[in-house]
Amino acid sequence: MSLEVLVAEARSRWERKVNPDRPRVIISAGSCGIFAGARKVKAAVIDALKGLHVDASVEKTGCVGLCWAEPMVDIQLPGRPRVAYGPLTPAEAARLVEDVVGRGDPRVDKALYVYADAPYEGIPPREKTDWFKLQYRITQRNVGIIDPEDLDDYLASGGYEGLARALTMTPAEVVEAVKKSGLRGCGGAAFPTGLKWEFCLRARGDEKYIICNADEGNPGTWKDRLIMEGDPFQLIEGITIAAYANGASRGFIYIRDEYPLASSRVRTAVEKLRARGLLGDKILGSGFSFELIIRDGAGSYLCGEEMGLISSLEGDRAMPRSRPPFPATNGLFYKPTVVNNVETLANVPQIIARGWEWYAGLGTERSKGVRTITVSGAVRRPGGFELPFGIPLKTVIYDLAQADPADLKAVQMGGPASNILPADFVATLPLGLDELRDAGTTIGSGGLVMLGQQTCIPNLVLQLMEFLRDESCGKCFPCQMGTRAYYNTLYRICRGEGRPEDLDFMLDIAPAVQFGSLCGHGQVAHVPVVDTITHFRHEYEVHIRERRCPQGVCELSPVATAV
Amino acid sequence: MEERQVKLTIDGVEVTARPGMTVLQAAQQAGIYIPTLCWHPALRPWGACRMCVVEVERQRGYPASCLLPVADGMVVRTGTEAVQEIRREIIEVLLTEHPLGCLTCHKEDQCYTGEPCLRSPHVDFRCVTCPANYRCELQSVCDYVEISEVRFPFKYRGIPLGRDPLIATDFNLCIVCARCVRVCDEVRGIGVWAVTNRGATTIVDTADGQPMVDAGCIMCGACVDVCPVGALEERQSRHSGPAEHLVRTVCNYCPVGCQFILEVRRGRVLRVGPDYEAPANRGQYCVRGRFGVSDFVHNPLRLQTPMVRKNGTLTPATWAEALGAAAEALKNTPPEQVAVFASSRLTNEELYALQKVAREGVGTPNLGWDLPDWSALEPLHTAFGKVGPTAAIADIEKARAYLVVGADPWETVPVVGMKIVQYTRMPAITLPPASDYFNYLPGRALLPERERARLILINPRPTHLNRFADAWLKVRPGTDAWLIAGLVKVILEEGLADPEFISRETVGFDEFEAAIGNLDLDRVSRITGVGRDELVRVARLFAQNRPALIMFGGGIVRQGRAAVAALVALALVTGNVGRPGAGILPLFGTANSQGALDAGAVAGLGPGQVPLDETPDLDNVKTCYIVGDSFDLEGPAGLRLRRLLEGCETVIVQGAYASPLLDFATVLLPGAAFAEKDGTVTSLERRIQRVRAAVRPPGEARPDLAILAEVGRGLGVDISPRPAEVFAELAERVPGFAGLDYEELEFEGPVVNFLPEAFNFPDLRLGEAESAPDGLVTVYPGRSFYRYDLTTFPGMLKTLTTVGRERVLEVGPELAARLGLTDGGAVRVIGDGWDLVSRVRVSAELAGDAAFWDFEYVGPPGGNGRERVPDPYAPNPVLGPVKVRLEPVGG
Repeated sequence: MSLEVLVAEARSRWERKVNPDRPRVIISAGSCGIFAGARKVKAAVIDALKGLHVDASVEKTGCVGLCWAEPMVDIQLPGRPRVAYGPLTPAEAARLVEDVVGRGDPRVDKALYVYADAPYEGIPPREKTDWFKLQYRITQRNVGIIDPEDLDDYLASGGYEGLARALTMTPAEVVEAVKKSGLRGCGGAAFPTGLKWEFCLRARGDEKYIICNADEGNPGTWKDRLIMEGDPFQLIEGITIAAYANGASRGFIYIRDEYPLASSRVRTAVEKLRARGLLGDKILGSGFSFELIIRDGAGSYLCGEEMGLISSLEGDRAMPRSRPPFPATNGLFYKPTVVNNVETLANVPQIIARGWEWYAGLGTERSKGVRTITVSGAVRRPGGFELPFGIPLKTVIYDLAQADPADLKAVQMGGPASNILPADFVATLPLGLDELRDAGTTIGSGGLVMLGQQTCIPNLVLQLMEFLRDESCGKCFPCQMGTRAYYNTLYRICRGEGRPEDLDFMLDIAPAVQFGSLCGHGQVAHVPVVDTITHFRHEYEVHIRERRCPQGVCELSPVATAV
Repeated sequence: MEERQVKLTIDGVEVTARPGMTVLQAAQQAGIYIPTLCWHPALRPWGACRMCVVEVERQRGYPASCLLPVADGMVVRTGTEAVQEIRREIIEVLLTEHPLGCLTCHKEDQCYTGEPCLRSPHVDFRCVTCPANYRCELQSVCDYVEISEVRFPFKYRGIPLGRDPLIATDFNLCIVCARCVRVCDEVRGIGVWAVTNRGATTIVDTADGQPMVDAGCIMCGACVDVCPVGALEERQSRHSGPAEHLVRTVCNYCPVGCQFILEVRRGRVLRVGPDYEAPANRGQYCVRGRFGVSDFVHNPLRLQTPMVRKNGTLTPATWAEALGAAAEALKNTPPEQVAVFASSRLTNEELYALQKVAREGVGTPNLGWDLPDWSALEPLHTAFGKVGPTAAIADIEKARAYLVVGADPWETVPVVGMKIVQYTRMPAITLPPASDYFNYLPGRALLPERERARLILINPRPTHLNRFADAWLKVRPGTDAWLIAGLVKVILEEGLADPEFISRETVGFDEFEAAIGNLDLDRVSRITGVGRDELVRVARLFAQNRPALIMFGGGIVRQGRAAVAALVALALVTGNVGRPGAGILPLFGTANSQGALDAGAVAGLGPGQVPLDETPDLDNVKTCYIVGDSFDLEGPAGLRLRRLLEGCETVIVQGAYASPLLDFATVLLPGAAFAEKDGTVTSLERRIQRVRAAVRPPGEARPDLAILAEVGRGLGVDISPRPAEVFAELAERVPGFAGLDYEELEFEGPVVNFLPEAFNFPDLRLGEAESAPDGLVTVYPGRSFYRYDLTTFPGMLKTLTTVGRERVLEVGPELAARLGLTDGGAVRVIGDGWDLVSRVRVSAELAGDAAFWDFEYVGPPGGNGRERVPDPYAPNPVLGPVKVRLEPVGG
């Protein structure tokens, strides 16, 4: 079946869906919504509808990124626009349905925004709200709007235009377009995607592979989950385009085992795409065939490291191999392999469909495009925002996430082993890859963790080190033993058994850990320690000299036994 | 083709390297030391210990030189302060969990190398508690980076010590370099060890912490050899300290020709160490060579004094007395009543001297016993002008198919078996040239641009290699000749032969084709029990994957010449002779079988493998001269030698061990073990290598060549007691040895495989398939690592017998049903004048009515499981499997 026919059918179904003849209730059913109580809300909504004897359709969608507003419910009445409400308890949801569906009361008090160009009953349009007006949603463009398990919804939104266009181009042209777009890896290292693809395209090999790294393990980062739970089709389209561009015949999505919902939605999507001929043999009637295999993660943090992931996919323990050779020439089973992050690949369909010029026009001169930032911690409105580069981090922290300037002490940028910087300093920086690198930091995987005044820094670093120590694969000595030494030292400090020379020791072994380690895990394991000793030395000193914890977090042993 | 050279500078020295080498390799080649802990010459680089980090100009960070490819114009510095600081910090945190008594002892100045410091009991953390003290790579690295103080408290992990036999494990000393894990997996193809746990508790262990043998360990000791610290140690020599000097020699157990290094201290062989440059084995060996040597050389059963039997008892005598008695007996007995038996573990020189004593001194044709069966191997002589290999062990790397017939290389010649596994087990992981630099690195996954080889097994019973095999023909025992002839027939019929090779390089194809033309494949299928389709499939598999290497063992030799002739024909029709990766590799039984053939210590075959017109007759032997130690009188067929000796008036025993032979000895000449004498041995690939004396023989024992020279002098034969002179004499008489100089065989002994101009097709005489007489069952010998030979050899070694498996009679299901044998039950085995009881294992995997035995039971006098079976074509008796009656015992 040709794409035009598929899309035409999908469009007409979508039109019927958004112009319903009966009320629609759409539950935000990402993992975050479910944890906040979406299932109970859904049950309450269904009960309420039954009580009203109203024939309504209850649908689901992904998480739109407003974590603080979960669980969210969108309601659309026939002939009216779709309005988003939240946060709701099951009882409130039942009341809301009774009011809105039963009595036609728009319930402005609980409303967040309306899917319309103009205000409706005083409810602001979505794009005019604080949370969306700064965003430029590409990978997240359908998230929270479409049903993530309905291929028609995705096709109606312009899905598979990118692949259709890519198939009219040569692989080299696709790679060139991605290269010119300025897209860079969203997993943390920010390596230019087009360049990576070019290496793989040029590498010789009888078989090539594309791997989508969906082992999103960084605490405080959940952008990939939003995509996989909210719009898996766009990700798979991106993988398919990448496979075409690199000459790969087989691809893998390596999904973190702690993401069961994402895994099941991606699986459903793969099945639906296969049934419609958008995956498998001779895609869209072209000569291009591509098989996509979904693999559940093996459960270790290092499974998300590029080489560790490859090693895990090969059936071994996730211990990173050393580079070179790079995966582009010797990756999975020593064949040329591209490993890309979920968000990176989800950007690709739109870049191809709308042209690289469009994407390159976004962001700043040095950092092109957009990035999804997830903000959590000491903020009022945590959430995920897809923002064009160039926006000041101040805006993200204070305006979007609404952190309290008086309460904010520090910010951890992108991952457990990343910079912990004073909030005042972070507020001076713009969102940008090279811009941040100039300032000596990085956005990493895009997860900003806000640390409030009540945070005890040594204790926080102790927690981070426990994580890094336990998740070290144990292969290279500096990482395995360095994180252990850090943990042991910090443990003593937080127990009130610290010694004055401990801080110097931790700084002393930092170069060995940084330059000695084999993979990214160890190479940055020292960062939180060094950063906090630099910026928050006094907190350590209070722990060591005065044997007390200013924040009252650490349980200091009453009798100091340090020698 | 001239190879491009890369020039780089390391520590100010200009170094030339091949492209694809790593910086570490280039530095080592130039004699520049870079400390390493996880890197090992036999393994793929791992990049974990980070000791080998270096500084490279215009390059960020500190790359690990073991993984850094060389590049033109690179400027590398290996010992800058920054680099040393990184190493020092890593070692320092490493030592928070590695016992460091050896580094911090305040008595170190007063310490002698490897001496226990019994006078300093107040040193609470002692170097002597570590078995690797003074042999520890971590110690050397600590010295190099100058660790002077340790700032952090040490934490003892408290992991219980291992209780495995032979290998003592103490993972409290482990630094998780994963060398053991990698050598077991990459090189040995087993995978006993694994990295377990994660993070700070990462440690090496077997899966689920089970005992090593349960995890599949074959006790090869490769992990012990690669362990840089004391975590894995040889149990018996654990605290014996470092060696005083090292002696390179060749293992005397099997014919692979494994070189290893004897570590000698105070006149004793402490242990055996690897040499990763050794030509045949590349630093690998098996349980017998690894753990058996010290026990073997310094055994309480060693003979130390010459003896002569007086009034019925052996009494100590002087050498002159004993030698006089020996010479007198040999001189005064009619020559045809004298028999001279040799062990094929003797050196080439000794075997040559021995045949000289027999033929020139005594004049008897009664020569041989524990030696390869020349009559069965005759087709090799016909085709290739010699009995011996037409390929080398290194050809295993080049071959695309292996045909293993009647052999279990994994157990009998383990290093060859290991190599087969290395090259067959990997799925087709190939490397594109982009990663050229890996091509110089060893390892299994890195077979450059090469498919894995196909493995075809022909064996009545499954072996370890089955799990890697592409095809297994479960042949009915004793019918291999038919099966192989069937394969040849299929290849000719399907046009898979190599006509160009046949017409260019062979003689006698037409006669051969005529002879095989009327072979009926259905009949072959009936006789061998192998389906015709399977036969065709395997014939195609073999013929379509060239070059192919044919390996055969005792299972074929025991069946007589027809099976060997069929194998030679198979090699010739497919053109698998005389090109790299192709050929025939006989897997002999004992260490110097090939040397015994070349030296002419076999009846009917003179030095240089010249066929002689000799007819041995062992029925009227009155004087017997037995040299060497692989003689057994206990096995069922061993009774034959016992009977022969009972009929003798004089038995001259020249050996190193007190064995049951002593009951018959009238003259006893104590000889030397292999680590006590000089000489050469020839391996199964016909590589001539030096055996060296590392220690002195005990008591009055003398090297066998010196004894033979004395015996020869008594008989008027001129034999030099110096191996170099005997070798020179031998080299003149053996084609191919010409020009070799004993003194020049220092390290890499040459492989002397010269092929004739044209190859003769052997005469294929299949004979008739015989059926076992009523009520009798043919029992075939099986083998095992730990009981490779007979009771007189590893059997007496306590180290090896700690691991041995249970002795069983393995029978096929049909046979078990017919005779009422049950799995786990007992069976009485009744032979010709003997009987014994054994446990039964019923194995569904066995072909038809096959029965197999743990080797030592069938072990005949010579140890090769042979009994006299008449063969009309054989100039010598052909020895075959034993025919017995089986009766269930008890329930």
